[in-house]
Amino acid sequence: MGKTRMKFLSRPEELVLLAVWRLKKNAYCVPIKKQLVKYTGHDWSFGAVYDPLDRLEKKGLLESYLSDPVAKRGGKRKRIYKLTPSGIMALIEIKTITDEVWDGIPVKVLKEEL
Amino acid sequence: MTKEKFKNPPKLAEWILSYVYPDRGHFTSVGDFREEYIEIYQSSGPFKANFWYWMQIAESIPGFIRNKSHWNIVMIHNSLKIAIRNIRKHKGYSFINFAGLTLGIGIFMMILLFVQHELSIDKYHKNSDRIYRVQGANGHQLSTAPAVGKWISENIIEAEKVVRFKFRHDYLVKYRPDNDPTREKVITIQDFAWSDPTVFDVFSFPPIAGDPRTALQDPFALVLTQSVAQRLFGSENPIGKTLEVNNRYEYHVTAVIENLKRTHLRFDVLAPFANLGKIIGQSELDSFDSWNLATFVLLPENHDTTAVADKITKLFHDRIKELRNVDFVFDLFPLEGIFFSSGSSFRNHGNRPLVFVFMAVAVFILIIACVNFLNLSTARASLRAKEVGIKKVVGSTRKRLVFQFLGESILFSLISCAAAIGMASLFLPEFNRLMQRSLSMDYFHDPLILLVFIAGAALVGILAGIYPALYLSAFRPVSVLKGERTKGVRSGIFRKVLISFQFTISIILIIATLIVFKQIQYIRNKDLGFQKEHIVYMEIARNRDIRDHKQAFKDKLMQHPLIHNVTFSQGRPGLVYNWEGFEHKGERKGYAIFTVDPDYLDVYGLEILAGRNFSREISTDPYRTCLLNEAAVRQLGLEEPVGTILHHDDLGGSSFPVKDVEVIGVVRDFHYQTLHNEIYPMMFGWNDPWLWMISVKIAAERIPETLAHIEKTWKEFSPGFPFDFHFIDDLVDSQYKNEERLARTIGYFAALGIFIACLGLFGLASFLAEQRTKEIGVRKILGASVVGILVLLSKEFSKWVVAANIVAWPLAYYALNKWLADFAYRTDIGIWPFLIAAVIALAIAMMTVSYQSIRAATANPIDSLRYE
Repeated sequence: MGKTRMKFLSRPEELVLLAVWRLKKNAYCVPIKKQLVKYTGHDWSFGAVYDPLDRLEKKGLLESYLSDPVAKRGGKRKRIYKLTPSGIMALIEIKTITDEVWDGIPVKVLKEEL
Repeated sequence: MTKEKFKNPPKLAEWILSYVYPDRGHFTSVGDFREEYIEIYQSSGPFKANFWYWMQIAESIPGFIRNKSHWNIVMIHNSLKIAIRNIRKHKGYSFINFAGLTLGIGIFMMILLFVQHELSIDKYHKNSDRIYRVQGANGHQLSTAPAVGKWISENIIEAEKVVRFKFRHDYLVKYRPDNDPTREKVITIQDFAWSDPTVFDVFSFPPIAGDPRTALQDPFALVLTQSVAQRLFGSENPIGKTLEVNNRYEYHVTAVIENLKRTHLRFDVLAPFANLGKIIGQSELDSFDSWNLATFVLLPENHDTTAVADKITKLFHDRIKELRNVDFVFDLFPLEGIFFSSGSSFRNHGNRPLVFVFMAVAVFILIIACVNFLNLSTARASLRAKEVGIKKVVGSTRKRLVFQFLGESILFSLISCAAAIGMASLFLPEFNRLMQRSLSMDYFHDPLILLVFIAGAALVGILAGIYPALYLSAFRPVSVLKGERTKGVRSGIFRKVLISFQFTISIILIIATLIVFKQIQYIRNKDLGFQKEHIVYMEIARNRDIRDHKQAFKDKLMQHPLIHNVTFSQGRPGLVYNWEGFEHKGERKGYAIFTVDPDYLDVYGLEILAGRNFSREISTDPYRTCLLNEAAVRQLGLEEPVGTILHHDDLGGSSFPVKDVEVIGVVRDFHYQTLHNEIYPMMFGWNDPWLWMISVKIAAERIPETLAHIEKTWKEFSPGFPFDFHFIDDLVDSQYKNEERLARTIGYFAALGIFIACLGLFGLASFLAEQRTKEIGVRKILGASVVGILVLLSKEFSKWVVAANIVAWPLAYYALNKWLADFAYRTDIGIWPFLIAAVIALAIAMMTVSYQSIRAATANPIDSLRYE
């Protein structure tokens, strides 16, 4: 790969980005938070989710739109996030680099060093 | 699909959250929180869900505060900068705004102090709501006899404490340190009171030294007020010092109390009532004839006063029945109401209507000042239109702009408030002199009061600023920025109505001043029926040196060629000392009694209409005969008054110690009381031992020489008493000093009101002239004359001042008519005060406007057209 320099994302940003991709049309704060809780086992607060969301949006990796009002939410709308092309690029990049960096290191090998 | 039922988070919590949680548009976060809440609710129950929700709120608050305050400070800083720049850019207008508000708030403050003072009189006593004065139910007899108080304390169990006061004037108190005559100090105590030791149980006069509770137990004890103690002893400790009272009795000081303030009672020295018995005789103390004490009782909490009053009446009737037939009924009057009630001298008076008039005037002046502010701000709105436009374009909301402008006006009024405090402390001494009070700014040292006051000032800022703020913030950025001229003129009518309103108030005040002065003039010039000029008046009630040698004193005085006549009396114009009832044909009527000698009619120039004067030749004249005035004859309905016999049984305290009194003459009516009163039936009697006032008729010329002779004679007879005299005309005039004070005060207010209104008018006129610069330039080029333009500019304002007059007249007429109704003899209001007020208002308005108009009218059109 002709290397363009990688844009570093923080780990929460990375996780949020991935969660948005996985959730597709349902990518708003509440399910994103649920996914994060599931993957990491940490209790994420809304603020902790919104923070990386806002930053990713600012960086142009995410964009958002408002849904129609939802009765369950007391008539409030959802802010639904969507990956931009550069967001998808970023995911590809992370995946590629991570794979490259971890190439040939099974978990078993690491465990042996304990 | 059935409608899903969800358990929603508490409304309040949701509302708070929506306020404190940073939002991403359309309350999406609130929605997020609700979803989560429902989930927790379903899995773990309401308690956990609620707890979680509230925790979320709690966690977001610190961030919220940080965020808010940061941006607010940035905005405030910016707004402040703009406000200050605006003030500096338009110094003239800013000054007018400041001056108006400062004057308004300052006056309001002083009047507030006054009103607060008046309404707090006698309320500081611990038991103030349980203290009552014993008085006659008729409302006229406000004093009681010594025996009444004694009987009440012995027999009426409801009366927890009883205290009696006997007030006396002008006692001499002498202090001789270490018996050294050279360092002797004599002062005259203007108000000296004898009272029971219970005085300190009933009233709460704050002590400074000594124990007031036991202070008056000793019959030769004295309690001084702080100022008297200071005058006598300076920095020495007054307790235990010996004083000589009226050159006769020695007392020692047992306690010092704070100077009396905020009470209707007036005394500088308190002496034990018990000792009065030793001096004037115990029988006098038990007397039920001399009704000259103020008696107060302390009742238990929430007690029925009428029941107690009835008991007192019954007690009195039982005691006195065997002596005579009486129909006197007692009443208990609450202490807190005494200050504003009418009644005798020896005490401080308040005037409740005056308090309300002042309050109204204060509010009006404040309104005038606020209106100024409002007027100028809206008139100059177009100057700030661009600012509003730009701010809106870059995203300011209307709410923010309203707050910005309100903030500006609050800032204005707070600064004015600070200046007003300075102004009030500067003018308070003059105000005190005018109102005869001793108000002080100490009141504002109380942080709470200061806080309330600052809040009040902020409120003034809001009131004055709300209209301009709404008006300014409503500009539409498109039209403003396109350079369309915003109509400062659009709200023109509203502003002119406000100006008329200001002038209405000012005109009412001017009319009031004129009419009050007119009434005073009327009183001054009214023929009172007696001659008040060139009569020197002295009192010798306690001066035995002269009182026991009246004839010799008179003979000595008469030796001087410029002294025409001398008379001794009890009662003078303006001071009736005695009222008695007499019976004729089975009907009992009341009379004002003047006890005099035969020269009285000559000195006061009173005319005999029928019968004759008292005569020294006729031995049966003294205390067996009387002269009536016309009013008395009319009341009795006598055709042939001379020779009529009047009866009475009340011999004890009477000027006539006989049962039958013969009428020997009739005197033309004269105004022996103020012109507030009709001439009431009165009679002259002659009883030498009762006479203790001296009136000396002197020649109009070489008055100082005559006075010197009188003083020399006085000193010869009575070196121990200071020579103290008055002129009768001064005393008569001084009865109207309340009215005069009222006139002067209202005069000041009128001047200030007009001044503030003119400030506003001036500002507005200069602004409008400025706005019409171009128009005026064009008019001049087309041939308009300076006069023509002057008329054009002034016409508008004069129209509104005239309108103000029309509104003001009926209001003023109504108010002043009410005030005049208090006088039995009054000037007619007439048309002149109204016309004069109109002319004054119009002239002042014209003068104010003309400065700007002339400047605009005489400006060279080249300059005025080139300015763009």
